[in-house]
Amino acid sequence: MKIDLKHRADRFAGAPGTSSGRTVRVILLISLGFILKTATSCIDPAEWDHEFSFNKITVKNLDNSGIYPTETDSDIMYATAVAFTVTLSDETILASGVNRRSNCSFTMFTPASAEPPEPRYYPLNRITGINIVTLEAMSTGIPAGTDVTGLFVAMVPQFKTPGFLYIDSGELLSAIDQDFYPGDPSVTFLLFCREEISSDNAQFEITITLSDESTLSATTNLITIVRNE
Amino acid sequence: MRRCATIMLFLLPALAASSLLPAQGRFIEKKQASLWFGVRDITRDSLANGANLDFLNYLHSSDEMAEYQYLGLSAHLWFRGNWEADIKVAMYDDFAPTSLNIKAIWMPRKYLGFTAGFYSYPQLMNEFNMFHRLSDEGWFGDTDSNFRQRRIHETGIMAGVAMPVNYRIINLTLYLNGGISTLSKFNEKVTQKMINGNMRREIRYSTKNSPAFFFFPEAELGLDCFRIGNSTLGVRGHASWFTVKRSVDYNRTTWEWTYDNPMQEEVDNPAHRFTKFEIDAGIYVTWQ
Repeated sequence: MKIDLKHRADRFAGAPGTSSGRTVRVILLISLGFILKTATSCIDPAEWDHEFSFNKITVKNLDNSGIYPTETDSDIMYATAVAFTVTLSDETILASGVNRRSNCSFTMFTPASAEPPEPRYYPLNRITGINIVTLEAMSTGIPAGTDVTGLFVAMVPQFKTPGFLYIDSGELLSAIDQDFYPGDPSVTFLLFCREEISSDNAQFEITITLSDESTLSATTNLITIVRNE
Repeated sequence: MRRCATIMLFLLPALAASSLLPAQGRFIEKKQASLWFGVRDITRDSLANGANLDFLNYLHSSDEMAEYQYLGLSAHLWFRGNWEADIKVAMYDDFAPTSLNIKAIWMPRKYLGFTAGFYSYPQLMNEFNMFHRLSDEGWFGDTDSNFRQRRIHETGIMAGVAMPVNYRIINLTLYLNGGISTLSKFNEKVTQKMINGNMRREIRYSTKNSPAFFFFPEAELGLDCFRIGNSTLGVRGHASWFTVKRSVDYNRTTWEWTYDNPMQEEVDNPAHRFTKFEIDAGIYVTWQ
Protein backbone atom coordinates (compact mmCIF):
# COMPACT_ATOMS: atom_id res chain seq x y z
CA MET A 1 0.00 0.00 0.00
CA LYS A 2 2.87 2.38 0.82
CA ILE A 3 4.65 1.53 -2.46
CA ASP A 4 1.49 2.28 -4.45
CA LEU A 5 1.09 5.67 -2.82
CA LYS A 6 4.72 6.62 -3.50
CA HIS A 7 4.45 5.52 -7.11
CA ARG A 8 1.33 7.61 -7.61
CA ALA A 9 2.95 10.59 -5.91
CA ASP A 10 6.02 10.40 -8.23
CA ARG A 11 3.78 10.17 -11.23
CA PHE A 12 1.83 13.28 -10.31
CA ALA A 13 4.92 15.21 -9.20
CA GLY A 14 6.82 14.42 -12.41
CA ALA A 15 4.16 15.47 -14.88
CA PRO A 16 4.09 19.19 -14.05
CA GLY A 17 7.91 19.36 -14.01
CA THR A 18 8.17 18.10 -17.59
CA SER A 19 5.39 20.38 -18.77
CA SER A 20 6.96 23.37 -17.05
CA GLY A 21 10.34 22.80 -18.73
CA ARG A 22 8.74 22.56 -22.14
CA THR A 23 6.79 25.77 -21.55
CA VAL A 24 9.96 27.65 -20.57
CA ARG A 25 11.75 26.44 -23.71
CA VAL A 26 8.86 27.50 -25.93
CA ILE A 27 8.70 30.93 -24.28
CA LEU A 28 12.47 31.37 -24.71
CA LEU A 29 12.23 30.42 -28.39
CA ILE A 30 9.36 32.86 -29.01
CA SER A 31 11.22 35.58 -27.12
CA LEU A 32 14.35 35.02 -29.20
CA GLY A 33 12.28 35.26 -32.39
CA PHE A 34 10.62 38.42 -31.13
CA ILE A 35 13.96 40.05 -30.28
CA LEU A 36 15.40 39.17 -33.68
CA LYS A 37 12.31 40.46 -35.41
CA THR A 38 12.41 43.69 -33.42
CA ALA A 39 16.07 44.19 -34.23
CA THR A 40 15.56 43.68 -37.95
CA SER A 41 12.48 45.91 -37.96
CA CYS A 42 14.34 48.86 -36.52
CA ILE A 43 14.72 51.85 -38.76
CA ASP A 44 17.77 54.02 -38.56
CA PRO A 45 16.52 57.53 -37.71
CA ALA A 46 19.42 59.03 -39.54
CA GLU A 47 17.88 57.70 -42.76
CA TRP A 48 15.01 60.13 -42.17
CA ASP A 49 17.04 63.28 -41.69
CA HIS A 50 17.41 65.55 -44.69
CA GLU A 51 18.89 68.89 -45.47
CA PHE A 52 17.10 71.57 -47.42
CA SER A 53 17.23 75.24 -48.25
CA PHE A 54 14.55 77.88 -48.07
CA ASN A 55 14.24 79.13 -51.61
CA LYS A 56 10.54 79.80 -52.10
CA ILE A 57 8.05 82.11 -50.45
CA THR A 58 4.29 81.94 -51.00
CA VAL A 59 1.72 84.42 -49.74
CA LYS A 60 -2.02 83.79 -49.70
CA ASN A 61 -4.96 85.81 -48.43
CA LEU A 62 -6.79 84.86 -45.26
CA ASP A 63 -10.42 85.40 -44.47
CA ASN A 64 -10.41 86.21 -40.78
CA SER A 65 -13.92 87.56 -40.45
CA GLY A 66 -15.04 84.46 -38.53
CA ILE A 67 -13.61 82.86 -35.43
CA TYR A 68 -10.84 81.00 -37.21
CA PRO A 69 -8.91 82.15 -40.30
CA THR A 70 -9.35 80.33 -43.60
CA GLU A 71 -7.48 80.69 -46.86
CA THR A 72 -9.37 82.59 -49.51
CA ASP A 73 -8.88 83.60 -53.14
CA SER A 74 -10.85 86.77 -52.59
CA ASP A 75 -8.94 90.05 -52.56
CA ILE A 76 -11.53 91.77 -50.41
CA MET A 77 -10.88 92.13 -46.67
CA TYR A 78 -12.39 94.01 -43.80
CA ALA A 79 -10.36 97.01 -42.63
CA THR A 80 -9.75 95.36 -39.25
CA ALA A 81 -9.21 91.85 -40.61
CA VAL A 82 -6.30 92.09 -43.04
CA ALA A 83 -4.45 88.80 -42.80
CA PHE A 84 -2.14 86.61 -44.84
CA THR A 85 -0.55 83.22 -44.68
CA VAL A 86 3.11 82.92 -45.62
CA THR A 87 4.89 79.69 -46.46
CA LEU A 88 8.65 79.30 -46.77
CA SER A 89 9.76 76.10 -48.47
CA ASP A 90 12.27 74.33 -50.66
CA GLU A 91 10.84 73.88 -54.12
CA THR A 92 13.68 71.64 -55.28
CA ILE A 93 13.44 68.83 -52.73
CA LEU A 94 11.63 65.73 -53.92
CA ALA A 95 9.79 63.33 -51.69
CA SER A 96 10.93 60.46 -53.94
CA GLY A 97 14.47 61.13 -52.77
CA VAL A 98 13.59 59.66 -49.42
CA ASN A 99 15.12 56.21 -49.10
CA ARG A 100 14.12 53.75 -46.51
CA ARG A 101 16.23 50.93 -45.21
CA SER A 102 15.36 47.59 -46.85
CA ASN A 103 12.40 45.69 -45.53
CA CYS A 104 14.16 42.38 -45.06
CA SER A 105 12.20 40.20 -42.73
CA PHE A 106 13.71 37.51 -40.58
CA THR A 107 10.69 35.68 -39.33
CA MET A 108 7.67 34.50 -41.19
CA PHE A 109 5.35 36.96 -39.49
CA THR A 110 5.33 40.66 -40.00
CA PRO A 111 4.74 43.32 -37.39
CA ALA A 112 1.15 44.35 -36.90
CA SER A 113 2.14 47.98 -37.08
CA ALA A 114 5.37 49.65 -38.05
CA GLU A 115 5.27 53.35 -38.60
CA PRO A 116 8.43 55.07 -39.75
CA PRO A 117 9.61 58.04 -37.74
CA GLU A 118 8.60 61.44 -39.01
CA PRO A 119 11.32 62.77 -41.32
CA ARG A 120 13.23 65.78 -40.09
CA TYR A 121 14.39 68.51 -42.41
CA TYR A 122 17.44 70.54 -41.39
CA PRO A 123 17.71 73.99 -43.00
CA LEU A 124 21.03 74.94 -44.62
CA ASN A 125 20.02 78.59 -44.44
CA ARG A 126 18.40 79.82 -41.24
CA ILE A 127 15.75 82.52 -41.06
CA THR A 128 17.30 85.65 -39.60
CA GLY A 129 14.82 88.42 -40.29
CA ILE A 130 11.29 89.35 -41.32
CA ASN A 131 10.21 92.68 -42.71
CA ILE A 132 6.84 93.85 -43.87
CA VAL A 133 6.55 97.06 -45.85
CA THR A 134 3.26 98.60 -46.88
CA LEU A 135 3.03 99.45 -50.57
CA GLU A 136 -0.12 101.50 -50.05
CA ALA A 137 -0.79 104.17 -47.48
CA MET A 138 -2.58 102.50 -44.56
CA SER A 139 -3.65 105.80 -43.06
CA THR A 140 -2.52 109.39 -43.10
CA GLY A 141 0.13 108.55 -40.51
CA ILE A 142 1.38 105.44 -42.28
CA PRO A 143 2.34 106.29 -45.85
CA ALA A 144 3.38 103.83 -48.52
CA GLY A 145 6.89 102.49 -48.05
CA THR A 146 6.68 102.38 -44.26
CA ASP A 147 8.05 99.35 -42.43
CA VAL A 148 4.95 98.01 -40.66
CA THR A 149 6.40 94.80 -39.27
CA GLY A 150 5.52 95.88 -35.74
CA LEU A 151 1.88 96.35 -36.72
CA PHE A 152 1.49 92.66 -37.39
CA VAL A 153 0.97 89.77 -34.98
CA ALA A 154 1.31 86.15 -35.95
CA MET A 155 0.38 82.53 -35.41
CA VAL A 156 2.56 79.56 -36.27
CA PRO A 157 0.22 76.57 -36.49
CA GLN A 158 2.95 73.97 -36.87
CA PHE A 159 4.68 74.82 -33.64
CA LYS A 160 3.70 75.28 -30.07
CA THR A 161 1.82 78.51 -29.54
CA PRO A 162 1.02 79.97 -26.15
CA GLY A 163 -2.73 79.61 -26.46
CA PHE A 164 -5.60 81.38 -28.12
CA LEU A 165 -3.85 84.69 -28.67
CA TYR A 166 -1.18 85.75 -31.15
CA ILE A 167 2.53 86.22 -30.80
CA ASP A 168 3.99 89.59 -31.72
CA SER A 169 6.30 90.07 -34.66
CA GLY A 170 9.34 90.09 -32.35
CA GLU A 171 8.56 86.56 -31.18
CA LEU A 172 7.76 85.34 -34.68
CA LEU A 173 11.37 84.98 -35.73
CA SER A 174 12.25 82.64 -32.86
CA ALA A 175 9.08 80.66 -33.51
CA ILE A 176 9.78 79.94 -37.16
CA ASP A 177 13.58 79.65 -37.04
CA GLN A 178 13.96 76.04 -35.96
CA ASP A 179 16.90 73.66 -35.87
CA PHE A 180 14.84 71.25 -37.95
CA TYR A 181 11.33 71.08 -39.37
CA PRO A 182 9.43 67.84 -38.80
CA GLY A 183 7.33 66.38 -41.58
CA ASP A 184 7.89 68.94 -44.33
CA PRO A 185 10.76 71.07 -45.60
CA SER A 186 8.69 74.18 -45.02
CA VAL A 187 7.28 76.51 -42.42
CA THR A 188 3.99 78.38 -42.53
CA PHE A 189 2.94 81.33 -40.44
CA LEU A 190 -0.09 83.57 -40.39
CA LEU A 191 0.18 87.35 -40.24
CA PHE A 192 -2.59 89.57 -38.88
CA CYS A 193 -2.59 93.33 -39.08
CA ARG A 194 -3.40 95.03 -35.76
CA GLU A 195 -4.08 98.37 -37.39
CA GLU A 196 -7.42 99.31 -38.88
CA ILE A 197 -6.67 100.37 -42.43
CA SER A 198 -8.37 103.60 -43.31
CA SER A 199 -7.52 103.67 -47.02
CA ASP A 200 -9.41 101.78 -49.70
CA ASN A 201 -6.58 99.45 -50.68
CA ALA A 202 -3.78 97.61 -49.01
CA GLN A 203 -0.74 95.80 -50.30
CA PHE A 204 2.36 94.60 -48.54
CA GLU A 205 5.77 93.31 -49.42
CA ILE A 206 7.06 90.60 -47.10
CA THR A 207 10.80 90.02 -47.04
CA ILE A 208 12.55 87.15 -45.31
CA THR A 209 16.26 87.43 -44.66
CA LEU A 210 18.25 84.20 -44.48
CA SER A 211 21.56 83.35 -42.84
CA ASP A 212 23.32 83.02 -46.21
CA GLU A 213 22.48 86.72 -46.74
CA SER A 214 19.93 85.91 -49.39
CA THR A 215 16.39 87.23 -49.17
CA LEU A 216 13.02 85.91 -50.19
CA SER A 217 10.34 88.46 -51.04
CA ALA A 218 6.70 88.22 -51.90
CA THR A 219 4.08 90.84 -52.58
CA THR A 220 0.52 90.36 -51.55
CA ASN A 221 -2.31 90.91 -53.96
CA LEU A 222 -3.80 94.36 -53.99
CA ILE A 223 -6.47 94.12 -51.31
CA THR A 224 -9.73 96.01 -51.52
CA ILE A 225 -10.73 97.21 -48.08
CA VAL A 226 -14.33 97.13 -46.90
CA ARG A 227 -15.70 98.35 -43.59
CA ASN A 228 -18.18 97.07 -41.07
CA GLU A 229 -21.57 98.68 -41.55
CA MET B 1 -9.05 67.17 3.02
CA ARG B 2 -12.82 66.91 3.18
CA ARG B 3 -12.58 63.26 4.08
CA CYS B 4 -10.26 64.08 6.99
CA ALA B 5 -12.62 66.80 8.18
CA THR B 6 -15.48 64.35 7.98
CA ILE B 7 -13.67 61.75 10.02
CA MET B 8 -12.55 64.30 12.59
CA LEU B 9 -16.04 65.70 12.95
CA PHE B 10 -17.25 62.24 13.70
CA LEU B 11 -14.40 61.11 15.89
CA LEU B 12 -13.82 64.15 18.08
CA PRO B 13 -17.28 64.29 19.65
CA ALA B 14 -17.22 60.54 20.08
CA LEU B 15 -13.84 60.65 21.80
CA ALA B 16 -14.87 63.61 23.95
CA ALA B 17 -17.97 61.77 24.98
CA SER B 18 -16.23 58.53 25.78
CA SER B 19 -14.11 60.09 28.55
CA LEU B 20 -17.22 61.32 30.34
CA LEU B 21 -19.01 58.03 30.20
CA PRO B 22 -19.25 55.26 32.73
CA ALA B 23 -17.17 52.22 31.95
CA GLN B 24 -20.02 49.75 31.84
CA GLY B 25 -22.38 49.22 28.89
CA ARG B 26 -21.83 49.26 25.19
CA PHE B 27 -20.19 52.21 23.50
CA ILE B 28 -22.81 52.26 20.73
CA GLU B 29 -26.20 51.58 22.21
CA LYS B 30 -28.30 51.73 19.04
CA LYS B 31 -27.70 51.97 15.31
CA GLN B 32 -29.83 52.97 12.39
CA ALA B 33 -29.16 52.70 8.66
CA SER B 34 -31.36 54.28 6.01
CA LEU B 35 -31.76 54.34 2.26
CA TRP B 36 -33.71 57.11 0.63
CA PHE B 37 -34.43 59.00 -2.58
CA GLY B 38 -34.89 62.72 -2.69
CA VAL B 39 -35.30 65.81 -4.80
CA ARG B 40 -33.70 69.23 -4.48
CA ASP B 41 -35.26 72.47 -5.61
CA ILE B 42 -33.17 75.59 -6.10
CA THR B 43 -34.45 79.14 -6.04
CA ARG B 44 -32.03 81.98 -6.54
CA ASP B 45 -32.00 85.64 -7.39
CA SER B 46 -31.26 86.38 -11.02
CA LEU B 47 -29.97 89.91 -11.14
CA ALA B 48 -29.83 92.03 -14.28
CA ASN B 49 -26.59 91.91 -16.20
CA GLY B 50 -24.22 94.66 -15.21
CA ALA B 51 -20.78 95.53 -16.41
CA ASN B 52 -19.29 92.36 -14.94
CA LEU B 53 -20.02 88.69 -15.17
CA ASP B 54 -21.93 87.55 -12.10
CA PHE B 55 -21.48 83.79 -11.80
CA LEU B 56 -24.35 83.41 -9.34
CA ASN B 57 -26.77 84.31 -12.13
CA TYR B 58 -25.86 81.03 -13.75
CA LEU B 59 -26.44 78.55 -10.93
CA HIS B 60 -28.69 75.84 -12.28
CA SER B 61 -32.28 76.69 -11.48
CA SER B 62 -35.50 76.10 -13.35
CA ASP B 63 -39.24 76.50 -12.99
CA GLU B 64 -39.58 72.79 -12.39
CA MET B 65 -39.99 71.51 -8.88
CA ALA B 66 -36.71 69.65 -8.69
CA GLU B 67 -33.47 70.55 -10.39
CA TYR B 68 -31.67 67.60 -8.86
CA GLN B 69 -32.57 64.07 -7.79
CA TYR B 70 -30.40 62.06 -5.51
CA LEU B 71 -30.04 58.73 -3.79
CA GLY B 72 -28.94 58.80 -0.19
CA LEU B 73 -27.64 56.64 2.58
CA SER B 74 -27.52 57.57 6.19
CA ALA B 75 -26.45 56.21 9.54
CA HIS B 76 -27.52 57.35 12.95
CA LEU B 77 -25.65 56.12 16.00
CA TRP B 78 -26.69 56.44 19.62
CA PHE B 79 -23.66 56.42 21.91
CA ARG B 80 -23.47 56.14 25.63
CA GLY B 81 -23.88 59.37 27.54
CA ASN B 82 -26.54 61.03 25.38
CA TRP B 83 -24.27 61.46 22.41
CA GLU B 84 -25.44 60.74 18.87
CA ALA B 85 -23.97 60.95 15.40
CA ASP B 86 -25.95 61.47 12.22
CA ILE B 87 -24.26 60.90 8.89
CA LYS B 88 -26.07 61.47 5.62
CA VAL B 89 -24.43 60.87 2.24
CA ALA B 90 -26.21 61.51 -1.04
CA MET B 91 -25.25 61.13 -4.67
CA TYR B 92 -26.53 62.21 -8.05
CA ASP B 93 -26.75 59.83 -10.99
CA ASP B 94 -22.96 59.75 -11.19
CA PHE B 95 -23.00 57.82 -7.88
CA ALA B 96 -20.30 60.04 -6.45
CA PRO B 97 -21.06 60.55 -2.75
CA THR B 98 -20.65 64.31 -2.86
CA SER B 99 -23.50 65.52 -0.65
CA LEU B 100 -22.59 65.27 3.02
CA ASN B 101 -24.52 66.20 6.12
CA ILE B 102 -22.67 65.06 9.21
CA LYS B 103 -23.66 66.01 12.71
CA ALA B 104 -22.64 65.20 16.25
CA ILE B 105 -25.53 65.58 18.63
CA TRP B 106 -25.43 65.97 22.39
CA MET B 107 -28.74 65.44 24.16
CA PRO B 108 -28.60 66.90 27.70
CA ARG B 109 -32.43 66.86 27.81
CA LYS B 110 -34.89 64.36 26.46
CA TYR B 111 -36.45 66.89 24.11
CA LEU B 112 -33.50 69.18 23.49
CA GLY B 113 -30.04 68.65 22.12
CA PHE B 114 -27.20 70.57 20.54
CA THR B 115 -25.59 69.81 17.22
CA ALA B 116 -22.35 70.58 15.49
CA GLY B 117 -21.49 69.39 12.04
CA PHE B 118 -20.28 69.67 8.50
CA TYR B 119 -22.38 70.26 5.40
CA SER B 120 -21.46 70.07 1.75
CA TYR B 121 -23.30 69.56 -1.50
CA PRO B 122 -22.58 70.20 -5.19
CA GLN B 123 -24.55 72.13 -7.72
CA LEU B 124 -24.14 73.08 -11.35
CA MET B 125 -23.29 76.37 -12.92
CA ASN B 126 -24.36 76.47 -16.56
CA GLU B 127 -23.56 78.66 -19.55
CA PHE B 128 -21.97 81.54 -17.68
CA ASN B 129 -20.41 82.45 -21.04
CA MET B 130 -23.83 83.74 -22.10
CA PHE B 131 -22.96 86.95 -20.28
CA HIS B 132 -20.21 87.62 -22.81
CA ARG B 133 -22.22 86.39 -25.74
CA LEU B 134 -25.03 88.79 -24.93
CA SER B 135 -23.14 91.80 -23.72
CA ASP B 136 -20.02 91.96 -25.89
CA GLU B 137 -21.38 93.32 -29.13
CA GLY B 138 -19.12 93.07 -32.14
CA TRP B 139 -17.38 90.04 -30.69
CA PHE B 140 -17.70 86.32 -30.80
CA GLY B 141 -18.42 86.37 -27.07
CA ASP B 142 -16.96 82.95 -26.41
CA THR B 143 -15.14 80.99 -29.08
CA ASP B 144 -15.60 77.80 -27.08
CA SER B 145 -18.67 76.22 -28.64
CA ASN B 146 -19.05 73.56 -25.94
CA PHE B 147 -21.80 73.71 -23.35
CA ARG B 148 -20.04 75.50 -20.52
CA GLN B 149 -20.83 73.80 -17.26
CA ARG B 150 -19.06 73.63 -13.95
CA ARG B 151 -19.83 71.82 -10.72
CA ILE B 152 -19.28 73.86 -7.60
CA HIS B 153 -19.50 72.75 -3.99
CA GLU B 154 -21.04 74.64 -1.14
CA THR B 155 -19.18 73.62 2.00
CA GLY B 156 -19.71 74.80 5.52
CA ILE B 157 -19.69 74.11 9.21
CA MET B 158 -22.80 74.43 11.30
CA ALA B 159 -24.20 74.24 14.80
CA GLY B 160 -27.71 74.28 16.20
CA VAL B 161 -30.30 72.60 18.29
CA ALA B 162 -32.08 69.28 17.94
CA MET B 163 -35.58 68.63 19.23
CA PRO B 164 -36.55 64.97 19.11
CA VAL B 165 -40.05 63.71 19.86
CA ASN B 166 -40.58 59.97 20.14
CA TYR B 167 -44.05 58.63 20.74
CA ARG B 168 -44.81 54.95 20.20
CA ILE B 169 -43.98 54.28 16.53
CA ILE B 170 -43.37 57.94 15.68
CA ASN B 171 -39.86 59.38 15.76
CA LEU B 172 -39.76 63.05 14.84
CA THR B 173 -36.69 65.23 15.09
CA LEU B 174 -36.42 68.89 14.26
CA TYR B 175 -33.02 70.45 13.69
CA LEU B 176 -32.36 74.18 13.56
CA ASN B 177 -28.90 74.54 12.10
CA GLY B 178 -26.95 77.62 11.21
CA GLY B 179 -23.41 78.13 10.13
CA ILE B 180 -20.96 79.59 7.72
CA SER B 181 -20.28 78.21 4.26
CA THR B 182 -18.40 79.08 1.12
CA LEU B 183 -18.60 78.13 -2.51
CA SER B 184 -15.60 76.30 -3.91
CA LYS B 185 -13.19 78.58 -5.70
CA PHE B 186 -12.65 78.04 -9.41
CA ASN B 187 -10.92 79.44 -12.47
CA GLU B 188 -12.60 80.01 -15.79
CA LYS B 189 -11.44 81.27 -19.15
CA VAL B 190 -13.34 82.97 -21.95
CA THR B 191 -11.71 83.56 -25.32
CA GLN B 192 -13.12 86.11 -27.71
CA LYS B 193 -12.56 87.30 -31.24
CA MET B 194 -13.76 90.41 -32.94
CA ILE B 195 -16.34 89.81 -35.66
CA ASN B 196 -14.83 90.85 -39.02
CA GLY B 197 -11.65 91.77 -37.23
CA ASN B 198 -8.31 90.31 -36.24
CA MET B 199 -8.42 91.31 -32.59
CA ARG B 200 -8.47 88.50 -30.03
CA ARG B 201 -9.03 88.70 -26.33
CA GLU B 202 -8.72 86.26 -23.47
CA ILE B 203 -10.39 86.79 -20.11
CA ARG B 204 -9.52 84.67 -17.11
CA TYR B 205 -11.56 84.63 -13.93
CA SER B 206 -10.29 83.48 -10.59
CA THR B 207 -12.95 83.54 -7.90
CA LYS B 208 -12.31 84.31 -4.26
CA ASN B 209 -13.67 82.69 -1.13
CA SER B 210 -17.29 83.63 -0.58
CA PRO B 211 -18.05 82.98 3.09
CA ALA B 212 -21.62 83.66 4.17
CA PHE B 213 -23.93 82.73 7.03
CA PHE B 214 -26.63 80.22 6.28
CA PHE B 215 -29.72 78.96 8.05
CA PHE B 216 -30.60 75.33 7.61
CA PRO B 217 -33.63 73.86 9.43
CA GLU B 218 -34.41 70.17 8.97
CA ALA B 219 -37.30 67.90 9.93
CA GLU B 220 -36.95 64.14 10.04
CA LEU B 221 -39.83 61.75 10.58
CA GLY B 222 -39.54 58.00 11.09
CA LEU B 223 -42.36 55.52 11.51
CA ASP B 224 -41.54 52.11 12.94
CA CYS B 225 -43.37 49.49 10.87
CA PHE B 226 -42.06 46.01 11.75
CA ARG B 227 -40.07 44.57 14.57
CA ILE B 228 -37.96 41.45 14.01
CA GLY B 229 -36.02 40.45 17.09
CA ASN B 230 -33.92 43.42 18.10
CA SER B 231 -34.36 45.11 14.74
CA THR B 232 -37.00 47.57 13.68
CA LEU B 233 -37.89 48.35 10.07
CA GLY B 234 -39.53 51.62 9.24
CA VAL B 235 -40.16 54.32 6.70
CA ARG B 236 -38.70 57.76 6.91
CA GLY B 237 -39.12 61.20 5.46
CA HIS B 238 -36.84 64.17 5.65
CA ALA B 239 -37.24 67.78 4.56
CA SER B 240 -34.83 70.66 4.79
CA TRP B 241 -34.55 74.27 3.76
CA PHE B 242 -31.30 76.10 3.22
CA THR B 243 -30.93 79.81 2.73
CA VAL B 244 -27.89 81.98 2.27
CA LYS B 245 -27.09 85.39 0.85
CA ARG B 246 -23.73 85.81 -0.76
CA SER B 247 -21.76 87.26 -3.62
CA VAL B 248 -19.03 85.69 -5.67
CA ASP B 249 -16.16 88.11 -6.19
CA TYR B 250 -13.19 87.44 -8.40
CA ASN B 251 -9.98 88.62 -9.97
CA ARG B 252 -10.21 89.15 -13.69
CA THR B 253 -7.22 89.22 -16.01
CA THR B 254 -7.66 90.33 -19.60
CA TRP B 255 -5.18 89.98 -22.43
CA GLU B 256 -5.64 91.56 -25.84
CA TRP B 257 -3.86 90.45 -29.01
CA THR B 258 -0.93 88.77 -27.20
CA TYR B 259 -0.13 87.46 -23.75
CA ASP B 260 1.86 90.59 -22.95
CA ASN B 261 0.59 93.41 -20.74
CA PRO B 262 -2.38 91.78 -18.96
CA MET B 263 -4.97 94.04 -17.41
CA GLN B 264 -5.91 92.92 -13.90
CA GLU B 265 -9.04 93.93 -12.03
CA GLU B 266 -10.75 92.98 -8.80
CA VAL B 267 -14.49 92.69 -9.18
CA ASP B 268 -17.02 92.77 -6.35
CA ASN B 269 -20.45 91.53 -7.29
CA PRO B 270 -23.80 92.15 -5.58
CA ALA B 271 -25.11 89.58 -3.11
CA HIS B 272 -27.76 87.07 -4.21
CA ARG B 273 -30.31 85.36 -2.05
CA PHE B 274 -30.26 81.63 -2.57
CA THR B 275 -32.59 78.99 -1.16
CA LYS B 276 -32.64 75.25 -1.46
CA PHE B 277 -35.48 72.96 -0.48
CA GLU B 278 -34.99 69.21 -0.23
CA ILE B 279 -37.39 66.43 0.49
CA ASP B 280 -36.63 62.74 0.54
CA ALA B 281 -38.22 59.51 1.64
CA GLY B 282 -37.01 55.99 2.22
CA ILE B 283 -36.70 53.12 4.61
CA TYR B 284 -34.62 52.43 7.67
CA VAL B 285 -33.62 49.66 9.93
CA THR B 286 -32.74 50.18 13.57
CA TRP B 287 -31.00 47.62 15.72
CA GLN B 288 -29.22 47.41 19.05
